[in-house]
Amino acid sequence: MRSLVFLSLAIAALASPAFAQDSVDHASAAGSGVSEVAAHLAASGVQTAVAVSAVPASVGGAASMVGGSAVAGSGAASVDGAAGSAKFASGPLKVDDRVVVAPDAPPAVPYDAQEPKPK
Amino acid sequence: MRTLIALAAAAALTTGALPALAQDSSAHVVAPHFTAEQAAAFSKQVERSLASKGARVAMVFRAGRGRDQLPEGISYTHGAFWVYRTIKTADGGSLSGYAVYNLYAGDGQAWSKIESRLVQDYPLDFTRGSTVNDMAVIIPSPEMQRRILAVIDSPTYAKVHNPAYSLVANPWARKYQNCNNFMLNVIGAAIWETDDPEQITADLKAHYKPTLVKANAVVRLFGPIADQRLRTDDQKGPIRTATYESLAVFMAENKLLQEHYIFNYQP
Repeated sequence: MRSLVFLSLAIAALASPAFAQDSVDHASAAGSGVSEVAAHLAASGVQTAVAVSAVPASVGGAASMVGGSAVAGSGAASVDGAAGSAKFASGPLKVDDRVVVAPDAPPAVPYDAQEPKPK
Repeated sequence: MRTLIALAAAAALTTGALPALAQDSSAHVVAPHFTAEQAAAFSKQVERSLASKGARVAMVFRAGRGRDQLPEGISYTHGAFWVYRTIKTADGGSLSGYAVYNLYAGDGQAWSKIESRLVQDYPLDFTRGSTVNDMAVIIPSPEMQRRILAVIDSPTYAKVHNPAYSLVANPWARKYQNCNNFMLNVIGAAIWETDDPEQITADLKAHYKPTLVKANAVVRLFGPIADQRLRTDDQKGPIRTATYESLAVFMAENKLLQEHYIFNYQP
């Protein structure tokens, strides 16, 4: 009787990798190394650029900080357009043809940081 | 004992259906659906679609599971903000395009599976995780784009993040968060112009209707055995979570939307 319970639970446990499929990070990432991907894409004729950072694109006159004036506390969620939003609707934007590749992932080290020994 | 066996067996059976619950957000996932070249092309197609509509901020959703594994009413498993940026490149130049602002759960190796982090990457990283030929897009109204961008570029962005991760986090509670709940909190911060997470949750409870996920009590009971990320102790009654579908409805009903649409890969 007991073994049947364990068997059922074991089946459940075995089924879980399918569940975790989209969440397994580097483990199954054959071919997912960024340098490898960039090289592969380049060899296929895809133009790539390795990113260093992403910085705010300029928006003429639009505020880029959360304003100090709280408008709606508990009322309806709808927000009206402010002067700044007009500049956000400034028509089509330009996108570079190059495919941006992120820099390599940091080294895989244990995430459970250790407590330093007291001196 | 009989009952226990029945429950255990049911857990085993339902685990096979557990992908249906997935609202997973995963770092560096590579799905076998697209080749690297196809994923690159798809990412650029989505970028151009957003750019053609003048979107400086959009919410984009991918399916990391086949549709046959997803429950009714849920078509996508991961969502993130795509933000129009100037991207500095390793060769010293710069280019215009989109950067992606994600909440990712750990894989148990780089960091814990039940902890999330805010990670910025790029459209290619996003499309490589797709298992289907389409993505969903929400483009907020220009005023909401302005407000969301202001939040993303401020300390509020990190302040509304709760690193305790659950696949089916309840947006009406603050105990856990997943990718879509996080986006919802950023939107809440932008709407109500507050950086107080408790205030945002209270306002969401009043104004946002989450997606209800059908799941029986057995899954709730045994889910943590099958996968520790399936935590439902923040739920009372039916399982509520944030999805593309309910986010789009919320934004449309409250006039926070420019448009939303499904974008199909063009081979």
